[in-house]
Amino acid sequence: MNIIKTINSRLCEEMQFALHESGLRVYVFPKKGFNKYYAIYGTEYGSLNSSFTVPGESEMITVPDGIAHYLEHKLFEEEDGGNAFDRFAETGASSNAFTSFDMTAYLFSCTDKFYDNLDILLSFVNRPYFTDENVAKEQGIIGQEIKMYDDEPEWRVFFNTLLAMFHKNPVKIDIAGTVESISHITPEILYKCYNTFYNPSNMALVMVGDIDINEALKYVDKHVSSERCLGKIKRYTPDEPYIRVKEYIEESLAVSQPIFRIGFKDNQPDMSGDELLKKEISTEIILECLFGKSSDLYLKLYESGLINSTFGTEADIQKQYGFTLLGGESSDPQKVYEIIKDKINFYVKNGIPKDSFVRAQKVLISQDIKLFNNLEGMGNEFIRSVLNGQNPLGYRDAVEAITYEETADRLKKHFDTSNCVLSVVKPLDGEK
Amino acid sequence: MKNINLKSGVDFHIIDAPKFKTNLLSIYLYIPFKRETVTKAALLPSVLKRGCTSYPTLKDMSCRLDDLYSASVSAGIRAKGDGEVLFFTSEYISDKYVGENLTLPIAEFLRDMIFSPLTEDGGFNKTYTESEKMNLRDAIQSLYNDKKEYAEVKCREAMFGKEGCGMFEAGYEEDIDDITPHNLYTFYNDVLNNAKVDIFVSGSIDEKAADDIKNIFDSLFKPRNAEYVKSKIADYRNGDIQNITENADVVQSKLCMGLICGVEPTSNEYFSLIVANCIFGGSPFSKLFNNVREKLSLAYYAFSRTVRFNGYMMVSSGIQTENYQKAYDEIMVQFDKMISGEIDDGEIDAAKKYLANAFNSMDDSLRQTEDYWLSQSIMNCNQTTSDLLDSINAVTKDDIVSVMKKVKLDTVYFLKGKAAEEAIV
Repeated sequence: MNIIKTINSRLCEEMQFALHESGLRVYVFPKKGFNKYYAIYGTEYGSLNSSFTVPGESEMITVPDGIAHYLEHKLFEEEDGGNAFDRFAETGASSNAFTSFDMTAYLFSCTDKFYDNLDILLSFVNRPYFTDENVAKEQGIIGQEIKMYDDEPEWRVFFNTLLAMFHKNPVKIDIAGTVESISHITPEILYKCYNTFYNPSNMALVMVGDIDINEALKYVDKHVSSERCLGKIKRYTPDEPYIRVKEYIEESLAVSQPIFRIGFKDNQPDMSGDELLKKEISTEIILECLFGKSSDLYLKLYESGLINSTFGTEADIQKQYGFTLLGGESSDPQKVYEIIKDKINFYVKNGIPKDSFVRAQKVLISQDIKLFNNLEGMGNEFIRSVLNGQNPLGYRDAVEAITYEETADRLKKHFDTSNCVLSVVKPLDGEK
Repeated sequence: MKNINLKSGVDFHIIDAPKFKTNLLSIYLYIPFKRETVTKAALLPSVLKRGCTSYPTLKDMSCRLDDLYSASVSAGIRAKGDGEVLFFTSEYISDKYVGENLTLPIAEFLRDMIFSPLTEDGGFNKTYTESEKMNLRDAIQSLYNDKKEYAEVKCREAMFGKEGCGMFEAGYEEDIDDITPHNLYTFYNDVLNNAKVDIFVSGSIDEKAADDIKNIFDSLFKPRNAEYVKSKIADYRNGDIQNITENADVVQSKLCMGLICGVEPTSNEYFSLIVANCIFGGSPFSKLFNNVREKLSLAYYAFSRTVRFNGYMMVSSGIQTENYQKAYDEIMVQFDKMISGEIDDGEIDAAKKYLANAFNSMDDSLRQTEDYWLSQSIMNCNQTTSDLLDSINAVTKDDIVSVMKKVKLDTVYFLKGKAAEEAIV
């Protein structure tokens, strides 16, 4: 198989890539000197994808909310009644999985027997085993997981922000679904989802560590059949209106003081590859310039006691959705909201100071260099880049290539203060 | 690792780790963990982070760090058994990737932050102290926002009282009003002059960089008669198991169980305990995971962990309120299996491999490596990774059973949420 090597000499890092005949994209990032190995095997399928057409059929189907996450839990189950955790236990690897809005991923890290572990990973993800009994059993466990999140104020304030921003984009639906929605899940529906989205051309395998890609590819050959290459999946994504749903949303929970998020929905959808990366980087630069620890605004809000060290920002800019959030704890979220909107309007009108733009670029480049210290961080970050059609070693170049004008344009388009939202979780009556 | 004793009570440790793209420079000030000073110690780093004479505001500090290729600086406290450390840590890019050596300016930055705080009238800056007192009050109260953590802290407090390892590291609200810029500054000077000092640097450190660090801090830290406190392991309870229930307006209840292990942190028995814990509830193949979660579907999480310095164990689980008895009974059934020796060789083997993986992974993180060696210093130990692996591999089933026989349930803490019929959303 043809192996393409890319070297980034400034970072002293290398990437090896092979396209498997099944359509699976396989990557190795060699890390000599580290004891650890990390592998992450993911599919571009998450909670967003509840409406689609099963390959070979013509009609669109809609499946219960929370099914991608349910499927993630159930794949660990094996035909002999055991689970994949037990098999990893025999090698000492530490394994896990997660489901996000647009991706499901299975992973392990180990310091020994890498190829045995890779064998286990590829084997259980490629061998679904769902029965009425084992599917029903999971409802109790996931039911408790959903309830745990119902009590987590950080999770609630986050999801409420999405509800206030999005009318139709399924990003507003809780990843795990509801106790009610998951009660409709059956083995038959799980197989339909599996057969559609766990098709190799929709997946990537990223490995980090002192790994021989040719050896790893033998295990890919063993478990990933090229007959399962099904081509393009028909996903249904509803059109999202520009306008927010509502400006303000609140919920009362057992918390000590109000927690808030300010949200900006991304209204420049349908991008991928370098174009998407540019959008993400310009957003990060704006966040750093306007709200970073060296900004005037952060200083003003902190010194006035309106925010504390929990304040932070986050940009989640993907192919199928995008939003930017700011928030933390505050005794007066409404006031923070007004100050932030005023400041954004000021910068839209007067421009971001050039020196802070340059400083923000430096901050992003530094974060990128630091990423290469952490094997798990590399794997998690890079599987997302490759599924988005981006070069994992090209982040720094992309940061350096961003122009001041592009950033100014993004500020105007994305940070529209007449279309942003405020979400607050406040203490229950009777508590502080 | 290279250890250099700079003077009485002040040590310098250099860890050579060129595989990383960053270096880590840390100053640790070790003090006894006391009820009288816990809140002041928690407040100190926040005040120092606000500004110093060279960089008087948050913005000044932050801009300086951005210029040093976005170096990070964190300061805080970390409990270490019957002691705690006040830490100042900077992570910065190593010269190979930025073309200049940042160790000297980073060491100068930490020096300014630690030794030249903003002061007025013989105390800390009033505005910063008062504002950080408010933030600390909020931080202490916000423990309640995370119910899992809250239940664990309350269980620990019920076990040991508000002293020693029963204390909450963030301190206590009732102390805050009495803290003044003046008495906080007096306390800080006492810490600076008397605490045991450990300076760690790790990453790609050449001789010049090590000398720079030494030259900067050597004259500032005076010799001192400072020693680590030997942590006392928790005593068994006289009398019945404590049962505590607290009501909360939440959907999911939290069940927390505190157990006393009677195991010294530096004994061989400690290794039997961590293997046993791994089998009982400390891994994804543990008895708690496989039975409480997988078999009975009672919980999303159910795990146990041990606290080395003080010899106790915590079991933690999130359950539906009406399943309290079922979950409690199942946890005890699994606990009894550990004592009666219903453990198969596969479980022991898996536990050893799981721990070996964790020990071998430590070396791939600068922060973990540094924290490991700091704890080793505090315990007066010098165990390398291969020592740890040898100790784990020597553990037998008999060792596991006999150490588990010493583990006694002490306190059951139940954060009781709404019952199912009230909780339907």
